[in-house]
Amino acid sequence: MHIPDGFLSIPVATSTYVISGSWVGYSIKRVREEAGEKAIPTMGVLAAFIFAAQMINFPVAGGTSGHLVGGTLIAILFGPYVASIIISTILIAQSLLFADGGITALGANILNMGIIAPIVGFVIYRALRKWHFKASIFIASWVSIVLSAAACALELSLSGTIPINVSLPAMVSVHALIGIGEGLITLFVILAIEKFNPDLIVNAKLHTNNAR
Amino acid sequence: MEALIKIENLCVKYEEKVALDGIDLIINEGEKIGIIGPNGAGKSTLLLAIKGLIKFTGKISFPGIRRSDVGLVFQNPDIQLFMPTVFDDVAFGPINQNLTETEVKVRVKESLEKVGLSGFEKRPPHHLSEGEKKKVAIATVLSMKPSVYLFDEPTTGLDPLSKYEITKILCSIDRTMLIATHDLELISKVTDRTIILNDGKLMAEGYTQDILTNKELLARNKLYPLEQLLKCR
Amino acid sequence: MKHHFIDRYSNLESPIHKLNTTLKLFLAVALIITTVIQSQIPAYKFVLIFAVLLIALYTSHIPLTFFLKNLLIILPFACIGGLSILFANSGDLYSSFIGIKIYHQALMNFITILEKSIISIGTIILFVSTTRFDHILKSFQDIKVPSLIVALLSFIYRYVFLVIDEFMRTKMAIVARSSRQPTLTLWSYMISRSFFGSLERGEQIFQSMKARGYNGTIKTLNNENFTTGDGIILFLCLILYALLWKL
Ligand SMILES: Nc1ncnc2c1ncn2[C@@H]1O[C@H](COP(=O)(O)OP(=O)(O)O)[C@@H](O)[C@H]1O
Ligand SMILES: [Mg+2]
Repeated sequence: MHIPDGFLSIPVATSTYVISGSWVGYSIKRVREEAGEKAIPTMGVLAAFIFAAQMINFPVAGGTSGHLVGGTLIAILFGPYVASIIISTILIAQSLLFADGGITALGANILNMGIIAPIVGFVIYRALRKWHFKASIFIASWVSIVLSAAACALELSLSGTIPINVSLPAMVSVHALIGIGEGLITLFVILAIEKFNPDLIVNAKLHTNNAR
Repeated sequence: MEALIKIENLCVKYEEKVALDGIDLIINEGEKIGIIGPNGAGKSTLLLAIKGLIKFTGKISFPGIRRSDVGLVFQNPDIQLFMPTVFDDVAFGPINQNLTETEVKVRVKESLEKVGLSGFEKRPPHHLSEGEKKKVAIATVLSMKPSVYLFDEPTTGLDPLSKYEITKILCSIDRTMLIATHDLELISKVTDRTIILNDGKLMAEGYTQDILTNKELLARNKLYPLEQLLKCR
Repeated sequence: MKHHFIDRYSNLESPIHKLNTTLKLFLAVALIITTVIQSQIPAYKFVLIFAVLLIALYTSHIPLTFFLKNLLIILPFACIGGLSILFANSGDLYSSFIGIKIYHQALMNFITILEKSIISIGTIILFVSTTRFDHILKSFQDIKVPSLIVALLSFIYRYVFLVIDEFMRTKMAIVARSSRQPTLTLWSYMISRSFFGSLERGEQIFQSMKARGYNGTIKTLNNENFTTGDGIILFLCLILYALLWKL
């Protein structure tokens, strides 16, 4: 889903840069107020953890494997602001260290994977968790992946690169499958985390004192 | 002798676990003190409490110095070294002491020289060997020129040569220091005075010589095997 | 594996490695931007730009095979989405092959995307493999990237290998004890263990930073100056870029 350089028009590239920049800037302000001095070390090791987890292929089901994106996972645990900052930073690191995702498309990539995904995931999880805890996690992560793929398709068609009647069905159908992996992995990881420390799931805050 | 640190009735509790239980200790200027005890005795906790990094009850006072004049070298160098290069890590402390750029560079150079790693400035910590990491960790505190050093297990987990080199570095530091370890050889070479911690309590205090020759005392505190050494082959 | 760290040669010594980092960052981004805003790139211009990249590569002592290998690994991932452009139905028929029709305009569009991808990815590989990551971070600090982002990037770089090692060790421990490959449940346990490990490590690093006077911001020294040589390179590159796109 990482859009490379050259696929976006100037208006799409610049407007997504502006939107992403503003949201990430606002998130930083919020997190700084909430977590204070601890923001750097705690989020730093979490970012390294998610970055590494994204590089690992999981067995999902029926012999297939997938890998974690983690936007919804972090959003469920620490809220959408922390998730946006961490995923955005990871996207910057990937565009440099792996040349994965273009420099001029960074705004769009952050918007899709670092903003839309965690916010959507967080909102759906919060709305549905009273109804069914496990289902809410799966649905939240699945929808977050599908919607960010749809946003990606929309940006490509707005740029005049790939027409919407081609890009949308292709992106959404592929990511409807990938989303199942993301949903299952996120669900299983949250369940495992809950077993060790139920408080963490309830609090959804960046307080690490209770971490053990 | 002038007291630099005074510890009175120090207690630390982690959730349910009592890690330190009523410790009294006075650290005088120029003293080199060994803190020995088995795993989980509370050695690391004592150092963290002195540096003010965890909650405790009781009193720790610093007549004559400030708490910021105390330098702590953590046991795990992957915790101590968090910057992308050796230079940035060794410079981290001096920069926070608001030294000028030139002073910071001199401090970095001197400290790396002292631990025998001149020229390592550009290296990223994750490409260093375990012994090198431990030495850089010491350099990150040397560069701050503290009046009192706290070392947590400086030689644990190292090969014999690295152990020897670190012992030599510690010998060359002419300052007050506390060394928490179960490396009895290290404290016999570096320290004058030794205390034994066990299960959060101060079990013994005395000259290193006397403590280390008291096999019965060591054995009682899980620092020496009780029977004669088994011979398997 | 898809992921190859492309900064392997960033520690070499060469004229390109010695250039001011912010200058290199500016030149790289400027080349990418001026490339992607072109509506099309004539073949001779593409060859010219690629030649410039290769000259820089040669000057930097980075093996050509390293550059090409990474380019070839990354390019398909970048261009997989571009395939739909190739098969788009627009304008005159260019050629038809076993029932697959390719149209002239679609082919041109595809070639343009391909050219842009090659130049952009090549530029990034060149920049990252000639610049130490810690220098990139300091340059980010200088151009006012938010300090939290810079600090997180620095932590990612410092700790990612440690986390990967931990994963691998846990995986080996699991595999060694059971003949089967680990299942999703086991992987989740590994991930959650590593998650708590990370939180604990964060807490300890916080203590370690506090112990050395940290109070909320990470300060570093930037040893780089903008030299006359950097100025000359800047001047030459600006002329080169202008010539490239205006001729
Ligand atoms: N963060 C912590 N939370 C809970 N218990 C802890 C923590 N750190 C240490 N402990 C416990 O406190 C005791 C003393 O630990 P420590 O000071 O690390 O011992 P030592 O350094 O002598 O091996 C141990 O039983 C240990 O399990
Ligand atoms: Mg210890």
